[in-house]
Amino acid sequence: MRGLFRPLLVLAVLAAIGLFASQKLELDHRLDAFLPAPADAEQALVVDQISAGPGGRLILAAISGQPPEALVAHSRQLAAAWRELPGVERVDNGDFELDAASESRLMQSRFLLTAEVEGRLDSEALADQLDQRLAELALAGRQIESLVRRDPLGLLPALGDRLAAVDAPQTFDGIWLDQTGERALLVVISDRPAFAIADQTELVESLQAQFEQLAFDSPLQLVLGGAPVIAIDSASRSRSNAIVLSSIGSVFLLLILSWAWRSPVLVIAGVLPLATGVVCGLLVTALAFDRVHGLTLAFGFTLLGVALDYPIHLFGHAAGRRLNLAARTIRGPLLLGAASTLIAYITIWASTSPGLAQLGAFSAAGLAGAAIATLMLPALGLSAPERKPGRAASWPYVPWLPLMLAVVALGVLLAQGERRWSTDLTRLSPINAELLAIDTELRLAMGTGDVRYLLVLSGPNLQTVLRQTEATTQLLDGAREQGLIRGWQAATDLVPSHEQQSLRRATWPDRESMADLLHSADPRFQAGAFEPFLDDLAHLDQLEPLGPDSWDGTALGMRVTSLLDQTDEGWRSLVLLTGMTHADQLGNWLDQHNAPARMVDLRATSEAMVAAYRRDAGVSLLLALALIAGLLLLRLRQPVLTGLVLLPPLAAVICTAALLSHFDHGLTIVHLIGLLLAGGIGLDFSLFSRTLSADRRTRVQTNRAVTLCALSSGGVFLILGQSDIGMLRMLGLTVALGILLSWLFARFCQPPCRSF
Amino acid sequence: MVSQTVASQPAKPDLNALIAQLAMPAEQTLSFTETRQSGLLTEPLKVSGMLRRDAAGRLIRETRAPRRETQILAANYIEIRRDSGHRQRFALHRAPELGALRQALIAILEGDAQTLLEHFHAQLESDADLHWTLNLKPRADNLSSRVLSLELVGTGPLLKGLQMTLTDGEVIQTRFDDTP
Repeated sequence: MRGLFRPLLVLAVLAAIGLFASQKLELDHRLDAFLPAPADAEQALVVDQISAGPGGRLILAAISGQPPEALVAHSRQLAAAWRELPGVERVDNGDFELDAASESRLMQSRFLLTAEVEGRLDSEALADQLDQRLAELALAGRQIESLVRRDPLGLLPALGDRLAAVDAPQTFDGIWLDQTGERALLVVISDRPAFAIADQTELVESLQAQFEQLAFDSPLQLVLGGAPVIAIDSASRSRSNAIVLSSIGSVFLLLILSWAWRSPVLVIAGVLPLATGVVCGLLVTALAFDRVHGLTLAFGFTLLGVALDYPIHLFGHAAGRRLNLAARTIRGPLLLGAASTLIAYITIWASTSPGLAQLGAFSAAGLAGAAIATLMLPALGLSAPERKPGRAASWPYVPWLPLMLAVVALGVLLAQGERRWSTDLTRLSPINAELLAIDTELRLAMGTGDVRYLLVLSGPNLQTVLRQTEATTQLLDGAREQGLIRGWQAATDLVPSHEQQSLRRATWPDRESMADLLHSADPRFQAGAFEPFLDDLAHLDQLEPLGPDSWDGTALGMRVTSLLDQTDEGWRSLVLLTGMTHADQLGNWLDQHNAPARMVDLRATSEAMVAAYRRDAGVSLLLALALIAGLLLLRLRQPVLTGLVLLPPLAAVICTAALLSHFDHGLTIVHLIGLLLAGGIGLDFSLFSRTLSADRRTRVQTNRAVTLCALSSGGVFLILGQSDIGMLRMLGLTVALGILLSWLFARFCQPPCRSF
Repeated sequence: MVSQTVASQPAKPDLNALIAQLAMPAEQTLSFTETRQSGLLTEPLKVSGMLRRDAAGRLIRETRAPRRETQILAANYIEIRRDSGHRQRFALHRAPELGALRQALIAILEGDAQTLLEHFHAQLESDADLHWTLNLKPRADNLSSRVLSLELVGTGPLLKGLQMTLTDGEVIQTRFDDTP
């Protein structure tokens, strides 16, 4: 077929560059990529919590389907098998004996970690402890003798109780079970980076495979949760969604364009601007960012579907003429429309959310590339088939109708007040709601809790922060007595300040005095019974002070890193609260006692963050609108004409916003982006309808092309709106509705033809 | 298999008859004193308290010394409850001696010779003065690896004592007294 060769060659070259660029791209599936960049310490905390920070490598597992005794046995077997897998750092199932590292380090550090040493050394307390050891010997006999020798004061079990989450899962024979006893609970910590999706996928698959081997023939079920599982799910769903939806979208476009152009050469040539756009987008994104979020590509490819409009306009005006003449006809409105849309995309690029910035960069570069490629298409020597001009459908000229609808819609939006906005930050994270529910439920069962309020302490150096944390937990003791909370977790449980450690060291008596104290407290024990304990005490001055690194490689290391970390400004320590019913009362209590800690409400902070983010976006969009209006005025030179060109897309955007805020649970930042895109496409419609409609032939060609654009772009976004990823669905429906209204309103605002 | 050694005289000892005599209704208590040795202590360790079976087939030991606590021995677990409200559960297989104790005592207190013989090899001897000795050896491997034997002694319908010998040589003596 003549003329097919050159378009195919260009397509092949583009495909090669695209492949090269996409191999350079490192895909990223961080959950927080589409969240705004934090503006202060509290917001940073919120983003850390949402993206799961150090908990990002935590996989929660529950097995069910058998009686408790069998579950306990399976939990042991499974944990043992999982521990052998590559990529597994640790498996915890409540069986503390298995985490020998933590126990041995707790045992070594017991003298430094034990609070209120004096209280434990009076004769009554000692006698009570030794009595407990006797009861243990009475029950377990020789099996427990060596533990009693080393820890007659029960310091280790006391530390264990102190460290156990207040709502920790119950243990059955030392294995975690949930409240109902129907599920055994396990925690796997992966040693792969939190968002290395391929590695995490491999790990989760091998965990499941190992489970299936063990559970063969039995009705045992495994449920997995945690940040890596959610990230894997989100990655695979954005991939499969993108593949399915873009395949359907492509087939849809091919059908529409083949029907409209009736020429395979033109269909292939028509794809070239889009392909150029994709390649430019990929190259610029790869150059401007280290890594690209998977969803950016899913979004970006579809946004570039808009680039198909350009060849539609070109070929629409080319019927029976040379293509370069058509290119000259459409150059004005096309470049003006592209420049306006570009302004809007660059505004998104300036967003503080990395995901949105990448999306803006990809789309801006892609759009510019597609526009230039469209104007260069005549160089391929193509010709468009002649089509009968047909009759211009006579639509009423009713520019007041969109104006009136826009005013009504604006009234609806104003009347809705704050309800028009959605402040739910999780809607912006591509998480499967069902998986999130499983995750929340598992966390509750594990006693890791649903954290809303945190106490935060920060300071320039570690020791100051630790001392402040200790001062705070002392106050919390009082708050617990008042019934304001049931308990808390703080880093100082494991890493006391140096000051506190020295104080404790100094309080322990020397070996001989301790031996005397023990003997006089309970003479039933033999004189040499506690030699290992006394030896440890004698070596107390050789014990290194505890620091944040002291727990590395143990089950407790994770806890220290999640509660204590180094920030840009110094150190930050968190205190987790459990069993708090009235946050305001605790806040008042802490204020009254001049606690050095700040209480952070994660939910309120995240909502404030979304609101601020939206305000910023709103200001940028208004700025973009002003710039676009200025640009149009500069080109069109008539204020009234500029107003009439801006009216259809603006009215369409306002009506779409009012409809969606009412029917889609409030507007989010994603809706705003969708409105922006719909506005850009609508502006193209309006520009072409208004400026290329002087004579009957041009008007018919313009209107056909605009209708074809509305059909193809609107269709593609409607297809995107079928996604089960919330963000893609919101975007697709917003743009599809915006395009439909823009098309209608552009027609209503097209003045009657002067030359019939 | 049941191996019953028949003493020469005066009567043939009958395991079924003995167990039927020893049966006690649920919740009726039996006081006990248990003595075991420990390398840490100057004197043997004495545990005293009451024991009973409940309707759910659990053996409940409420100890007075060395410490007040309630030990609930169920089919698969032991739960320890202290006055402070502190509770702890272990699987019974971690303390095979308590498992063996529960199996033997529950079967005897329920008067269920059949169940007793399912779990233990039993050997009954008696003399003219109605003194009897019932020697039990656990059948299950997990118990027999830790518990060598249980020897119950009594007179007529009264259970007087129990001696448990563990495979490591430790001997636990228990004396029963039906008057608390």
